[in-house]
Amino acid sequence: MIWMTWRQHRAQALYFLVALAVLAAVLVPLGLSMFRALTDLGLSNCHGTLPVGDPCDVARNTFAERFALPHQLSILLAFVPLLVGLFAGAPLVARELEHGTHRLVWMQGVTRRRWLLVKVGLVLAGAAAFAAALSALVYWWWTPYERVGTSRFGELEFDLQGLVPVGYTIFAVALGVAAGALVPKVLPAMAVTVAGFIGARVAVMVARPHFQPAEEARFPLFAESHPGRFVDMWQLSTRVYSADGQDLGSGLITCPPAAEAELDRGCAGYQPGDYNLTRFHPASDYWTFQLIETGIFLAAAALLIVFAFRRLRRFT
Amino acid sequence: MIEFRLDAHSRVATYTQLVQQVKQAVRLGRLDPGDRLPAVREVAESLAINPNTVLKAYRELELAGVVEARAGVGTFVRAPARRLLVNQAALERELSTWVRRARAAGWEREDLVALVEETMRAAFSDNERENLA
Amino acid sequence: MSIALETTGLGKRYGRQWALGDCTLSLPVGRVAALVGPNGAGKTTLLHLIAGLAQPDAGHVRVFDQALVNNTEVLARVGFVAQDSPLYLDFTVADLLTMGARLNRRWDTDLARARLARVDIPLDKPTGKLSGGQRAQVALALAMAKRPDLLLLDEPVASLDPLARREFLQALMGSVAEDGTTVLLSSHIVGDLERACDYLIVLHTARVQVLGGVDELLASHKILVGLRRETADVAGTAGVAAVVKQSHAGKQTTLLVRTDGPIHDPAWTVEDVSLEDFVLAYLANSDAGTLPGPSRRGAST
Repeated sequence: MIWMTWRQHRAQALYFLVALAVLAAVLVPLGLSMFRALTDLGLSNCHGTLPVGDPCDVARNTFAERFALPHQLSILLAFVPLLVGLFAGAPLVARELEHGTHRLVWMQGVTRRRWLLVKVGLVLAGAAAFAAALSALVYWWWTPYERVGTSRFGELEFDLQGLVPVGYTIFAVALGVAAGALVPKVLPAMAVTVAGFIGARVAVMVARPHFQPAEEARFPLFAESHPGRFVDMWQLSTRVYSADGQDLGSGLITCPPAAEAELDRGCAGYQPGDYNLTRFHPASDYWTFQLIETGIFLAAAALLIVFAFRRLRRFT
Repeated sequence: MIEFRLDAHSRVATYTQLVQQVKQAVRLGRLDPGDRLPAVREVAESLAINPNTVLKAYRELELAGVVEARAGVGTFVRAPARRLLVNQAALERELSTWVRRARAAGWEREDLVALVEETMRAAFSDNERENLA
Repeated sequence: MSIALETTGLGKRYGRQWALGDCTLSLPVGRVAALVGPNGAGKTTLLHLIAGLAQPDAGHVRVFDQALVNNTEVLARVGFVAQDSPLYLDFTVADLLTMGARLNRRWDTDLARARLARVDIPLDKPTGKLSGGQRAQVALALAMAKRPDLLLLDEPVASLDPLARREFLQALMGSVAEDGTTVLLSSHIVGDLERACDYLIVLHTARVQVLGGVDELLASHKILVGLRRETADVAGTAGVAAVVKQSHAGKQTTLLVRTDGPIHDPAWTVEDVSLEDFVLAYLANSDAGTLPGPSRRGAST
């Protein structure tokens, strides 16, 4: 059955390998040039939170602007797990059932259970390996961005690296398999996979801020010195409140001490005593969140596989 | 070696057709004593018929004394025994008289054949019937 | 006489519709059986149940006196060619042989190669590039390479041209002659089957209507041709057990009857029945049947 699975999926395996190679061919040189830029711009010695106006801060902005486009395009990588699910997962069962070849292979002395177990097991392993390799590549490529303050923990950046892409990919494949067992035709199974994947990802994304209780940082608007731009953490919200707790709107406002403040137009309309309240998850929570989200998708994948087994047991 | 043909639209059973073709071939000298009949598998495959049908035909030919089966080797044509038809002369005379009487009464050739066929059908059981040819 | 296949009250339903109901039959070893009936009669469902591809909702099926559930031993002795001979279209024929060798316990590669060589099928072509007739031959070779004791075929020649049909039946008969395989093949074209089959199962609206050896069945039925009369007049005739089909045209009545003795009544011309006439007559008369028991009674008017 191992030979059989390989023979059926070897073309697919090749395509994914080529895709990985292409992505590497793009990301590796780009990453190397980004690391070089870090040194050239004198950023190697800039770390952590810095006050506004610091030359490091300026260099950071230069870097961020120069490599803004790859940053924006990287969001496309979020679709990779879905593509794996669509092309490796959905046809796995649906194609057999649609073409009737299950009536050939289930007569070849292999039980449905073993057939599905080996097929799904091997394809999941391959997909997971692919996702892990890509995830590691992206994690490495992201390091310069992290150095200049674009947190890995950000809303969309979180999805592209670490453990979660592996979780998403395994889930997408399992979803494709279950979709095929539910709707035994390839295109409808793909449609179900897309709908299910997007639905699940959106739902978990909405739930993500609540995996752990958020932390809060307060600091006044008018002060001698302010903490610099927050880095490495996941900022959920930052709002300004009056001394008696009234919500004065979103934003993070820093002003010189009250005495000198009349000169700053951005600080007009605020009272001394007003403060900023930033809700966030600290950088130390990053891997916890990665594990929780990956765990959710792996558990869902397991349930989907069980569903697929049950459905296929009575299929004719 | 004899090559069998099948008339798919004939009312005659398949195995009977095979039996008749062998008997015909022997009668016409196309099969000589000692000649081997094709293997059951060959006949079944070339005509797309059930091998049991071929076996049945070969068995009937054996019972009729036309062939003999040699285990492991094949089925071979036997030297024919001369069959004596009992009372041939008397029966022939009766038949001629009857035919003349029918013709005198105005019966056509087809009428005679139809009556003879009906009478024979009634007299012979299914498995023993032979085609009038 | 040992039994290759036996079903008792076998039934399968899809939703609320019973595709097959109360199917009771047995098939002796070594027979080549025809499973005939109109489309939708349940032929495919029955074959799937026997092959282990579907689970019954009622009744039992036993193959070589064993139940099929989780029984990989006996299922290894059953070969099946599904309707339209499904194959992996991107696999070459050689790939399919490798698949068979790797997945099956009992597999005869040489037999498969010999069969394919006999019909000139190249091993290195993807099956998607073969003709329909060639694909049917490949599917048959794969099923035969399992060395099955029972071979099931679902409308194997329905979509083939006459030459391909002939070649398929030739290959099948050759294999039966060599291995003594018991065969059950379904078709809604009766003409092809007359030469190949010696056992008959007629399925009509999901039930078994006729069951028995072809020779015995045809021997116990006759066509009666005579002057026009109502069927009620025939019932008493010696030798007539039941009237299966009747048709009247002008001054002539033609009946297809089941006999229980010789018919000597001079009012009738008695003729033999062909398999095709036999099957068509029973299919047209859903009340008729050759099975004993209260659910089937001989037709009469």
